[in-house]
Amino acid sequence: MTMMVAGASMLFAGGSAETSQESQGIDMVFWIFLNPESTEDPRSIVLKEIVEEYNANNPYGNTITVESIHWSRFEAQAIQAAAAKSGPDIINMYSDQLKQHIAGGTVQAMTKYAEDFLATIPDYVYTVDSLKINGDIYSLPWESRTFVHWYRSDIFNRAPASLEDLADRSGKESDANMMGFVIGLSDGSNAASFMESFIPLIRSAGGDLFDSNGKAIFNSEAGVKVLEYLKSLIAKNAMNSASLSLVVDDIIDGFKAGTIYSMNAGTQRAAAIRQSSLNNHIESAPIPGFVEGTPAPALVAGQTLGIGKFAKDPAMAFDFIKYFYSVENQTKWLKANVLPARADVYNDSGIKQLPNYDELKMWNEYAATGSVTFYPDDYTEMAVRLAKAAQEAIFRNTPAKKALDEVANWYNNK
Amino acid sequence: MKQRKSLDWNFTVEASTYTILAIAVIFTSFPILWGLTTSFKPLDQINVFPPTLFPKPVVFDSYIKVLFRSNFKVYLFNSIFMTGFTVLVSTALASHAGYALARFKIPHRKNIMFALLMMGMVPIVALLIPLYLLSVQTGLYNTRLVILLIYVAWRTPIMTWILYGFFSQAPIEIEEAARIDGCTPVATFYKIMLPISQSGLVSSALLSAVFVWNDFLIAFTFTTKENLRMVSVGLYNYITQYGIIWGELMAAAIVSIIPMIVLFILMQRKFVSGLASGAVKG
Repeated sequence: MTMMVAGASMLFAGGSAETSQESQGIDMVFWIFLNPESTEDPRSIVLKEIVEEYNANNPYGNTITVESIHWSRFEAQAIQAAAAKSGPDIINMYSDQLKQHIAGGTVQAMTKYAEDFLATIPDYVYTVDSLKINGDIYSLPWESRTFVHWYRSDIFNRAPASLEDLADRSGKESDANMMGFVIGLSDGSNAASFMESFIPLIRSAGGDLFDSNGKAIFNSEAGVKVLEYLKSLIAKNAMNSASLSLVVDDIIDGFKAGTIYSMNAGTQRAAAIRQSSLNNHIESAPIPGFVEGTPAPALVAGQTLGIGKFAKDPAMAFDFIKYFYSVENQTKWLKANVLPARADVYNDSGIKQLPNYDELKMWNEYAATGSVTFYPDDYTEMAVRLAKAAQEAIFRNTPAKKALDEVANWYNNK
Repeated sequence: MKQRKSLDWNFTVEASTYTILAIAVIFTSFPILWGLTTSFKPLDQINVFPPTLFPKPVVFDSYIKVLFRSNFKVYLFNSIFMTGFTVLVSTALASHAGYALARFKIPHRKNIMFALLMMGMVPIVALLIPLYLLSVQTGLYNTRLVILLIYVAWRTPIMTWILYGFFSQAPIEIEEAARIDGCTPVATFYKIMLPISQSGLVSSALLSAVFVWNDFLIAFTFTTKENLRMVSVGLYNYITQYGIIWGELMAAAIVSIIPMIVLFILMQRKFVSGLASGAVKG
């Protein structure tokens, strides 16, 4: 009977068979998008290795428990937990969403820990100043994904030299079933596909989304130039009105299937892209710019690690974070096609022998032409409005300036 | 001649009916068929143009990955356990409450019934934040118990309302006969009413089972632990930040609908008779 009661209580409490044991370290919870239980995804395997090695070898006797939270609901889940004064000890965040986490109170500043640590790793690709938000460092990027141009080498004999070249050549290859090039103009999935191209293009045109004070300035001549260019893609038949409903996953599926001949997408999607039967004909290159021979400045983003607002012991949480950034662990990430945040990794002999080393190196060099940007906490809402403005300008002939002004005015007058 | 015309007309009506039904079956089952064939396709054949319906060759990689190289079987166990437990407890509570409301003179019965109905109308999303805070404060967050409590509390009112309707329609003469034969009210309920109400109980239990099995919101919100996840959340894992893993997603979806199909096949007769006798009409 006693055993039955014990068994039942274990089942309802979550099936944990752990007994309380005296240990010197602390148990910490780590929230991340990756699932260490996956035996297929190379990134998840690397994560599991790193955590298991830390648990086995850290001198404090700490243990890390990974809890995988779905990426699309991560922010909501973390903010909800913080509102209930709970949450993880270590939290993984996209750089794009960092300010949202700060506003939601999910993460705490770790400036002192980070400054001391960064002083010991000179090959870290981000500077202390570039990581500060209102004078504090809240997280450290551990990967530096960038967004590149993917194209079919059996359709195009070389990467486009400029945006105009891309529009001309893609237009010639398009027909009723195939699109030469696509930028997803859907406002679904946080308008990610649109923004991943809009940002490098507006920078190539000499503009940007925000000025140094955080004021929206995308309604500049540069912004208008980008929308006019997108309109020309339709006029030249490079892409068609189907782009209105396409989100980034749809475009990648189309590219893999062979119905889309070129696209812009993040390097983090390389493994998924290369699962295509057309893999032998898939190449990547920097996103072309308006000036021939000069690529658009890279859009760089990445996953970052921070200390949870309600961490049991911030110093111990940072001890794990430091371990995460060792050259050995960063090398493991690169082998799993994740661009690392430490430059020394590229000198590793094992890395140099990887079959896709040249491509990895090219991504890394291209990423160096941009820098990580921490967008405001209402970035997603603005991105969706911006995509809708682009739809208006491209398909309903609303003047590009007017469409962009409306979004910029809404944003700046909030 | 008139009879011949009538036969022709009947044949036309019947043929049209079957044609429409056949189209409806094809239309509704095509996505499942597409999912099934996709789950057997090699990785590089999933995204091809023009698309192919039948895999060449047929591979079981996606099923092997889902069933043996992921935590999907843990999610399946959790879903089966949560669904089974919720259905058992809710049915036990709701049948007693429904019978009492249908047969006993309870003050404010109409108001109670109205309140039960209203409770079933509150969208679960409206209760999510307070329930979340409560579960964290009581230390129940990340346990099976909190999920089960919520499911039982969510399903019991509407099941009580359904079973109240069923018990109300049952002929009172049977109960009176049992009483004359010496049955107590409690014995009448267990020995007479419950056995003759099987179709109503099965119908309401099946409806609740489908609700719990398909629920995502509670299953996702009240646990972050891998070993407590349910199938609905597990399916979501195949829509990754790096792209959708179509083969495994389809294999997992097919596996996840099998228990519900089996349940419906086993309970089909009682479910249909329950529907026909008004058990779920209230």
